[in-house]
Amino acid sequence: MAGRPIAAITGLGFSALSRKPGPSARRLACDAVRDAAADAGLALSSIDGLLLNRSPIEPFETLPLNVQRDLGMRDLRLLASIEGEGSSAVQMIQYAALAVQSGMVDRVACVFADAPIAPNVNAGQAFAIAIPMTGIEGWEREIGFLGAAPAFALVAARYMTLYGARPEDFGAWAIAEREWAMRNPRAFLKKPLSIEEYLASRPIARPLRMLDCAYPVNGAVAFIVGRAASADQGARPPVYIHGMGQGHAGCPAFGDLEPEFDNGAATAGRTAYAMAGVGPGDVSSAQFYAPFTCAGVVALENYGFCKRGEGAAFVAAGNIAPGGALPVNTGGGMLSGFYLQGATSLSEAVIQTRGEGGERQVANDVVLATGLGGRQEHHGALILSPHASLA
Amino acid sequence: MSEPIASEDVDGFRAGLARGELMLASCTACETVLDYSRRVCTTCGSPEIGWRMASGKAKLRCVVEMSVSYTLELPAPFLIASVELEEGPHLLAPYDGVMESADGGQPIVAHFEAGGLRFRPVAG
Repeated sequence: MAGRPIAAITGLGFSALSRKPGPSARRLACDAVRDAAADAGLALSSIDGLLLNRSPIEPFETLPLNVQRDLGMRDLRLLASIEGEGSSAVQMIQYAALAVQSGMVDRVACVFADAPIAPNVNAGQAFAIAIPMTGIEGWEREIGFLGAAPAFALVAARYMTLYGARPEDFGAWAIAEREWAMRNPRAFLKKPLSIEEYLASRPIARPLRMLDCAYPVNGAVAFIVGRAASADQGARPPVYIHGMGQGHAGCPAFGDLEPEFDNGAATAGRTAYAMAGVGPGDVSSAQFYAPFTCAGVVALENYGFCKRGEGAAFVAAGNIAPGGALPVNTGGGMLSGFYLQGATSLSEAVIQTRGEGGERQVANDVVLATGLGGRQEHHGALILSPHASLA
Repeated sequence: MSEPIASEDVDGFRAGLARGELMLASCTACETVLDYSRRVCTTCGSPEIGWRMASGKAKLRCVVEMSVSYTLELPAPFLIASVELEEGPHLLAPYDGVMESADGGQPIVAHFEAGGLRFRPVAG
């Protein structure tokens, strides 16, 4: 299997990205799909598949199947909304690749769109939902455990409890992403960040500070997935999909099990690596779905770049920053780049694989892109390369 | 342990809280203690989940401070602990302790205050 790509990403499109209230997710999605088709040099009428990814905390009508009609796409041979929480964007690419490879469809547009910032809703309020964690309906709301931040604060707190990580280690992640963002024209936060500023940023859910948290924006990103065999005839450099994996550990919250860490990401990584015939040592850059600093540290471990408990020190040693041994989240990630769920890591992976990263471009022979859902229960991974063969 | 009381889903947990008792989900067929997210027994597949009283003894896993107020009823800051009950299940609950001294594994115990379940460090 190794050496032959499954399919290719031949188009990448963005809507306007904004921190201010604006068009609906549905409208933004249409902008991104049109932009992706133009980027690929394709007429919309030549795209015969459409996959949609709405934010899992928004109602279905936010991004309905009717987006097909908005775009005037006729006679589609594939149309679905994918629900795997934050792993959905990576999952869309996977299902599109399989559908294309099987011959069921020729080209699939995959789009993520979200507009969390509304006239009376700021970014913090938009995500202050009660994430079900205990399994007791309504319990999190009842005890005031609201928002994604506390769910991930538990991950950071448990990590610190077990492995003695310091706040400065998580700060090193935030600073590395900021340094990458300063090299990305599309990134939102580009002012240099010092460890003193990080440590002084206000607590959101201790041990998490504001600068540990993602920076949500309104926007949409679309990807066109087509056959590998014809990908080198497209308008843009081909991005071959060599490996795909998912992991959903279903780890019970029981006894000495560690649902914070044994979450399925390792399974997603192993499956994708094996399919591509590569290992962590071959990865040129890693584009992780890390909505909070601690999630990135745990991902480094689960995807095989360091041992359990060593991720914090790996980050603190400068490995993921510009000039480091393993460039990570080279667009500024979700903290300093922009937070559009799975589209953040995936879009940067495509840009890097194409060699279109400009000032932030790094080696790109093998690029890892990941998705993460819920409170880390769902994972997807892709191995991408500009090379048609990794053999 | 006391005899399990048959009940639907998590009603038994809340009925227990109303009595000032911390209840555990367990299978009425094979008596396996289940984590709170289960709706059928993971050991025997039975949907007959009952409820039995927990000892209230637990180990602290870690502590998070809710640093921002989202509701008037629960002004920040306040602490929430992830606990491992003696019988196995993990649970989140308000914590009457100090975040800075919250070492993993320290013994804690459930108590009820104003009708609410909370945990605190074991004295001594």
